[in-house]
Amino acid sequence: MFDRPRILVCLLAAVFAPAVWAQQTLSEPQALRIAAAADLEPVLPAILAEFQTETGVHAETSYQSSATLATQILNGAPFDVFLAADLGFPQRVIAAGLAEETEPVVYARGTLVLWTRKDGRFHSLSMESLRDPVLKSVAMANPEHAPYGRAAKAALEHLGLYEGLKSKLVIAENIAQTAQYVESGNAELGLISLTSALTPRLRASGQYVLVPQDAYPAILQGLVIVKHPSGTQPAHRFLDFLASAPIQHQLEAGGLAPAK
Amino acid sequence: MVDDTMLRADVRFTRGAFVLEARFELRSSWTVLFGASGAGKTTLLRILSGLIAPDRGRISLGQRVLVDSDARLTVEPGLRRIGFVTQQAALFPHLTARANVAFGLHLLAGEKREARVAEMLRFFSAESLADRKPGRLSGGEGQRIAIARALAPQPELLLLDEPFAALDSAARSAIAGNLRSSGVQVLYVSHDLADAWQMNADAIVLEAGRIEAQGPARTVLAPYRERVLEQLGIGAASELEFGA
Amino acid sequence: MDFQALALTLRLAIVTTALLLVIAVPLAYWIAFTGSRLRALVEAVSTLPLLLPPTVLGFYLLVLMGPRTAFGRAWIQLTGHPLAFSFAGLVVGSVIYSLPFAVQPLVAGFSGVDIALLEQARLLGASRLRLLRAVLLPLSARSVLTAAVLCFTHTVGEFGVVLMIGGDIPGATRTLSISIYDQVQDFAYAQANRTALVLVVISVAALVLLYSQRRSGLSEARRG
Repeated sequence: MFDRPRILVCLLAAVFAPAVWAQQTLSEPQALRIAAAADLEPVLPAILAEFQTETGVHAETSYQSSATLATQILNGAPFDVFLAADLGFPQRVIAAGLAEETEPVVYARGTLVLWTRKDGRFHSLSMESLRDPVLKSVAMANPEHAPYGRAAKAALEHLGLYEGLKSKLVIAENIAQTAQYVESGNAELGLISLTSALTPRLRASGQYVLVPQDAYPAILQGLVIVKHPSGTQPAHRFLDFLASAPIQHQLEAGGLAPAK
Repeated sequence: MVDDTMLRADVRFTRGAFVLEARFELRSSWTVLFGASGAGKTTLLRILSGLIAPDRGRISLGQRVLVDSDARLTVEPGLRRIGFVTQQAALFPHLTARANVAFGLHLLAGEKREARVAEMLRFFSAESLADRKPGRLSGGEGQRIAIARALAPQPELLLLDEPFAALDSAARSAIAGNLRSSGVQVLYVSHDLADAWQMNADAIVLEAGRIEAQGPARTVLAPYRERVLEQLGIGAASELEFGA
Repeated sequence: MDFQALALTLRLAIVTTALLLVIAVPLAYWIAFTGSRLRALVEAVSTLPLLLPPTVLGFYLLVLMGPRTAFGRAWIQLTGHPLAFSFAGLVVGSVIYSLPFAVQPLVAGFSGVDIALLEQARLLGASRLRLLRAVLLPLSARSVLTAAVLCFTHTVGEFGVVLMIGGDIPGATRTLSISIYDQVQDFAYAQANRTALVLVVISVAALVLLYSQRRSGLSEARRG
């Protein structure tokens, strides 16, 4: 092969051509790119499908922790809308001059719940279960940078449980991963989002109780539209769609209370 | 003809405690470089061929200057028109004998190259070996191919570093005969006295990095004669003569 | 089965491997044969990506490629969008991430070639390129294959770097490993299992190809 440079060149060209082609598919005009916090994964796809039916706009979503998404956006990620799980991360995007708004638009309120498997040890689940000395492990999202993690830590501190539980805590990178830890049985209890708890799968395999609302600061979930040289029309249409009454009902049914 | 392609060298090289200082000219078309192991013979050949750079010195082959440390001139090994055959044949194991011989002929056009390769194979009676890979060649066959490979590009000087050590005397004289009839200038390294004695050529004696003597082999090597006789198997007889 | 992700993953692995061979061969040649005092440093730096956690590597690449650095800004000026979150960005990330897997086997292979052969090649007038093409590469062909297969499988399995600098964009940066991650996050375990199986099958096939070569080369490559 090395004696025939022409073949080598052809091979390389054949290999680079699809790479260039792959690059083209990135710049589809009608696609709306959404950066969505992990807790939205159970509820957003259905809403986006309806959005496409109604407006013809196809939305592509990336579900990661709000922290990672913010980092990516700050480094130039081509998202059109950033739906975070708090207000802090959208505020950073605003501070970097990358958002259209001057304040994050609160689109929903998140709810923290305590969840356990039905075939686990805790048959009559309550917040008191967290005090049970037999408890081995509790999963929560990272309190350093995950909004639901911060809320979980605040709730535990409010109930005077945080210090005592420290050795039993299993920290997940984002709220979706937290649900995985407890759903798979690796953690006995988990402080997860209501959106996860209301999914068919978790409803079938476990039970939950609401963490008292006064135990943690409200999880106000904010969004921003990311500035775009080619305009933000589809993004605005999506925002209107999201704010409409039927969609707000859908969000509520899925575990995200309205912004009030 | 010898004068035109004569090698002249004046080099100094140090590595650790070893110092090589050699100043000589080749006056004959067949010169034996003789000396004990560690005397610096291989190092000298490596310097002449360009694989090592001397600390300072001047080397010229005929009209061409190959190394001149004052003028900061060094000609690359591949351009010196010097062939170098080592004790280990160093044949390219993934190429046939034919391809090995052809390796240095990349500047020749296809037909001319093939003709030259065929000529070399014939010259060393190696036609039957042409399509074998080095793994299938015996020690002697491998050496023949290695010498053919070095000779193919028509070098002005051929350096041989004990390439005959693994061969029997018949094979040795056959190859030596071939080389002498080819007319190329040869500098041949040996620490084997019996060999050097029989060659009937010039000799340079190297000891601990210094040239001790240079001249016709029989003259220069006479002091080492005792050892020659021993190696030729006559040693026991002389012991009896002078014993007790 | 996410065929788009599969095609993308294979494309990424092939492009990365091809590029890495082109980059790593001269680099390994230099490392194996230079007498320079910088050699140890260069070799260490080329091994560095092995030691950095992939997400950390991904993060620093992300910053490097973004509008916060001069390089990133220049790129955006030239092409209209950042290097990250594109296939090209993934290629750059993968090349850096898999670099040690190309350099190490090549250096080992090159160093194992009898230096007397390389000297003879030089004496017979071979240029460096010809030496590489006609002697060094053929005699270290197994190392080249090892480097290629390791780069390929390593890139196929890449996750942390791709997630960070890729942004999980379908068709452009959602590779198979990310696809599995998404499916797992979504509790779609059956799908995830299927996708994971494909990933494993590809990698095992490539490695079997590599390991089945080992024995046959042994007798040929040894010096005659």
